[in-house]
Amino acid sequence: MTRRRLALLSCLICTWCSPLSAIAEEAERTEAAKVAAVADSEGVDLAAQGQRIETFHKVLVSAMQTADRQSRETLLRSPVLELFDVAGIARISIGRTWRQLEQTDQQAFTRLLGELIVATYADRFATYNNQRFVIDEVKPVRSGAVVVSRLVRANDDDVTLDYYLRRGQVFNVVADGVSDLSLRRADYNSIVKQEGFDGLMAHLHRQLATARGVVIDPAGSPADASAENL
Amino acid sequence: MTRIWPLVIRAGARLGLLLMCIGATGCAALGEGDYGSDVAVLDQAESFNRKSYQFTDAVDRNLVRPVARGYHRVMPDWLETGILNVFQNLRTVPSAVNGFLQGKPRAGMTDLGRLVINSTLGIGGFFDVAGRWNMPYQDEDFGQTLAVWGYERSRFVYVPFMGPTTLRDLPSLLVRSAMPRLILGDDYHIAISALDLVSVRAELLTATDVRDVSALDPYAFTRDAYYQRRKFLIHDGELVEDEFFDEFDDFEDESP
Repeated sequence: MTRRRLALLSCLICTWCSPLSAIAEEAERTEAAKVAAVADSEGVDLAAQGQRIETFHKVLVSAMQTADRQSRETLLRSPVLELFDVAGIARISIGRTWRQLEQTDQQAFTRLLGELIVATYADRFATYNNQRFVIDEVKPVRSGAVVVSRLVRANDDDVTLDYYLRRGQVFNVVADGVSDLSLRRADYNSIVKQEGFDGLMAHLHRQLATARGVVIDPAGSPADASAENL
Repeated sequence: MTRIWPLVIRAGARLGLLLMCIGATGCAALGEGDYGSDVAVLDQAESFNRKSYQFTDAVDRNLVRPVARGYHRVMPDWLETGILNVFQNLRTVPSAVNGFLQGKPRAGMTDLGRLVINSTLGIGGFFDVAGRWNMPYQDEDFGQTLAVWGYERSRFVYVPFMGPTTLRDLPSLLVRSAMPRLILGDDYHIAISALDLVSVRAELLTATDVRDVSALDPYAFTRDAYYQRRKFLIHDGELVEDEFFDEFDDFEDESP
């Protein structure tokens, strides 16, 4: 009883006195470092994961400085397809349906999804306005790692970007708390439920064509849809 | 000087009434029952919600969004940000209260500090001085407080005109739009509420543009995005362990 009260009291003191809480934070940091070391010994090379994302960010910056859409896609294609676990994303995003598909359908879906991810990056990182990327930390999570980073924009709030990696490949990007894979799954499953797998493929083909044909939101200022405001 | 006291008393009385209302709706919503543990999204009134979404989206497309787009085009960035800051400053009051209610005195104090600094040095909240001094807005509300108190999973509702919410978050959504009015009373002109709405909608233009190009089923997309955003706010942006690892493991267990 008294011990609990004492613990509670010390917690309170920690939150209120900044020097003490700094010590607590320091302790937390060393704890985190220990966890990192353990994960390292289990075979996840955290530094390498951070490196991969940093390289990808450099590609994104040069994409933003490329005016032509077609060249942006060309520039982004192989980095995106190498970094992202497109097959894994495809599997998770349609869940149960995946298991019922023929192998050729699985491959067609995976290929289309890969192209769509490339096209999406080419769309969203289209204008350069002195944005830069900062990697804050690399943490071990379960059997992989998460790279916590930020897109820093000149006249706007930062966007936090958490890259979830497994076996060195990204399977999910969480932007300001919103998970890309979760959204994709919710969206695709809803379409499969209403229109079946063929319906989903038709939608995705149309989406890819639209992405390649027109820039987002022709009605608004083009900046609305670009990385400037992302 | 003498005129300030009736105002303060009135504001106090209104705040008391408000807290009572919040308490009552909160308790009523608590009796929602259990749905099992494997459901990420609880949407039991999907056909109503979808219709409500379509209706609200039509209103948005034809009225609110064009106005917000015009506003965004006309206003210089600094003015747009300043106006958002003023309204956010007013909402720092409930945010601080909810910080304390969630047992986070540090968050509550940060918001109170912001209120004092930004209302004075920041000229009525127009400039976010406190933000520059490393005192960010904590963004707490009563829905998050209920979640912290254990009411984590709640049914999805798409409220006509107002947008996505859950039963748990509904009281704070309703109060949110009425908040400055409830405290400041009739001095708070209806046109100011309209400005509040338009400035918030303008801030969301990019998000809805992204939705429009990436969503195949915008309703399902919005619903999932809402759940995720709430989860993020409830956990104050701390990383929650990613559930997808389990699914990868499941797949690999099956394959030979």
